Amino acid sequence: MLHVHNLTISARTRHGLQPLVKDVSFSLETNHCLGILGESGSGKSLTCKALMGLLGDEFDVQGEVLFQGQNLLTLPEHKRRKIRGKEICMVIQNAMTAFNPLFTLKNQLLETLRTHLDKPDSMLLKRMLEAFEKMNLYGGETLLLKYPHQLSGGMLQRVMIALCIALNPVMIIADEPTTAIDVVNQVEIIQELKKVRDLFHTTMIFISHDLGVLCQLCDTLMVMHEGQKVEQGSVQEVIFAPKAPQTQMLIQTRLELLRAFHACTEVAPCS
Amino acid sequence: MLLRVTDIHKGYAKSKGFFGKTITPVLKGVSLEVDYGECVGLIGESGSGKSTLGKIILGVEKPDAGTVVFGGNEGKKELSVVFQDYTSSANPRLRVKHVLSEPLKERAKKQRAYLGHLLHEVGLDESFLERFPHQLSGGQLQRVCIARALATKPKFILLDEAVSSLDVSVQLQILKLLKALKEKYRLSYLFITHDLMSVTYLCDRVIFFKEGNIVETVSHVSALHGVKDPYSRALLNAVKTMEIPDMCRAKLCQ
Amino acid sequence: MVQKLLHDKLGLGALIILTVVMVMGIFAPLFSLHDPLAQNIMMKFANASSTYPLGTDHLGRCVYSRLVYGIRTTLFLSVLTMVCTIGIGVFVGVISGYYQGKLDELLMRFCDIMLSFPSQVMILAIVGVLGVGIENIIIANILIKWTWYARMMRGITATYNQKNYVLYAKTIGKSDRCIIRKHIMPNVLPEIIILATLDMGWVIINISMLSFLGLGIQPPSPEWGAMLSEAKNTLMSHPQQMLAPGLAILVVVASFNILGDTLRDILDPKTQER
Repeated sequence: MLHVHNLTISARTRHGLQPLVKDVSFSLETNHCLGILGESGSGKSLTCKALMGLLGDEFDVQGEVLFQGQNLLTLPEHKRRKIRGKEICMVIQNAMTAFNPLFTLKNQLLETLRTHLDKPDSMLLKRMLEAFEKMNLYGGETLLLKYPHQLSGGMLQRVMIALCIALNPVMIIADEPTTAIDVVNQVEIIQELKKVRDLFHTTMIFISHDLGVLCQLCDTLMVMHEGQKVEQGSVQEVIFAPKAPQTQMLIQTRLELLRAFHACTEVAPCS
Repeated sequence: MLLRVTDIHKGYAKSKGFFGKTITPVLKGVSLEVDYGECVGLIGESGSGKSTLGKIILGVEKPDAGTVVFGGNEGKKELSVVFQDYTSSANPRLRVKHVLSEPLKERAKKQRAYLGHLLHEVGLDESFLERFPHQLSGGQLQRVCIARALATKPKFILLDEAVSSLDVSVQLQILKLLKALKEKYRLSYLFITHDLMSVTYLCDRVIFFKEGNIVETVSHVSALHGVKDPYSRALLNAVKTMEIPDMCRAKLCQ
Repeated sequence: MVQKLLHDKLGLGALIILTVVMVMGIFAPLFSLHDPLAQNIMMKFANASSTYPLGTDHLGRCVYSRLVYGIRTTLFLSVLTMVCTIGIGVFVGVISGYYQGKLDELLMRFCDIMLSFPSQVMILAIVGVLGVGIENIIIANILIKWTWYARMMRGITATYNQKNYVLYAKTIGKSDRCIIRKHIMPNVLPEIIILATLDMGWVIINISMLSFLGLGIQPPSPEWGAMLSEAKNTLMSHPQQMLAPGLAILVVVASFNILGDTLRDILDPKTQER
């Protein structure tokens, strides 16, 4: 479904082009979930923003991004806008900043739905409420009338995912959706996303620096470090037999913290 | 007892009309103690009031009721802090050497040798003294903040989400550093965080904090499996679910 | 810092223009060709020539010389006004923003009241009470403007108050004076300088306007606004009379604005290249 070839992103600075993402290539099959793992500054968010065509003129994007046969990088803007939201949906990191604090949720969600779906408002509302229910967001009617600041980060994140479901895209790109959320809510959001995958067979790209989150949800893992892809493989391969030193270090770090955690939280650890 | 916090109440006024104000209580009667050489972890979600508690312990905010007492002495000099947001923890106009020497009073202490020594303690070399904060990475800047906290040889350091903004690998390095410094200088920490895994790595005792109240205290971190309060249990289970799934348990026990 | 200034051609140009103007004003007797007050009715409305580089006005006075001497009145008085305004505004604003609480409320409500009056009306009112004359319009300008700066400074100080390094300094027991001097002021000052340079234009135009109305500089003292006022009388017959003082005001005000923008970039330590 998605083929990325030699994606290179550079920033235009006074001193010329500064490469930020170098020569990244990967493929994604339908109904597959790719996890992109990397630390801050590794270029994972930039890569996905480039896929969506959300980078401004300060960036120079080279390479090829074939989505269902079309090269997203060379498409004219109005066609790309149609794809964005309808075919590919993005869930971003900090839900609070995704919404305009001056308007109610109903206002903003309807605005997005109207742009992509050519249906009367009543049908769009019904669709939104159904999506809410699938996300375990009850009291949808009252929820819609609230303003973004009246909801917690976790709930807003679920609203964003519900919006994605309502749009029923072919692919969802989730950029660190659980980072700003506390652990208890994180578990719920991951479960919702799992449900979405099972129900709609949506293809997903999931970006995170948290290995645990990616293992729950993804089939394949791609590890990025300083703008380059250093490893790719199934979740099993990457965790049990990491080849790149950066991956090994990330897994070692996690294991060390986990060992301490295990020792404290199991009645009889390692029995 | 190095630190004794007794029955702290704090509320924020929401609307100030001419006829009274609505006060939102943030801390509802919090009491805790930290002993010499002990590391206590305070776990709570964002908005639970733990940062406010931290500020009250530091003395930058006054509680509505309750007391904070440091080990008999005047306490101020024995106390230091490392914050979460390292980007605003150091004055961007000052070089590292000025940032480090800020808490030092005596002229003698403003010597390069001592500052260099402080940097070595946190794993940085002397060349960092001449740099500006924006020229350092997150991990490096946080180390500078820890070095600054150590400069006055305090007995107690408040770590307010000190590792939360860092990458996981850097987090581990800083946690190891904090552990080593604690052993070396017999420091006490109050480690405020929302991350249970960093608490299990670093702390001796754990306090669970929710909506302005302490809901449970675990006397030793190894006894975490026995928590009873529903909030604590939910947190514990959530973290367990998020860890690498069962198939990797074998790898863990190697 | 100097290197950054050298890179910014527009800012450098503005700085050079202003420096030249300042120097000309200080050494006005050296730069002017004639006595600015010397009248020569026979030569009125003369065109530009070698004797009179910018021609003469309706009383035969050399326009160029009047411009040069006018720098002293227009520019220097504006700078004086600015410095006094900033001095008071910063003091009140920083105290208010740092300590907050009841003092902050009191001061800011006072500023709100002062700001709710239209500034021009207030200036005219104060001048009306104190009488006509340049000292009085400066006092009037200061009295009106300081409250705006106080508000701005209070807002800026309040943001810096929340920074972790200020909290740290408070934790280790540094005195308030020390914290304000070391942490608040160095961050607040660049903002002030930028606001001040952008505002200089307003002050220059204000003094000129009041002179234009006959409330400030009294004739025959040379002042750019007063020159504009005199030129308006001959707008139909000799429109070029407005050119010299008008362009002078334009160039100086624009230079200050550009300088303000440049200063903002230069004084940001993050963009300092070492």
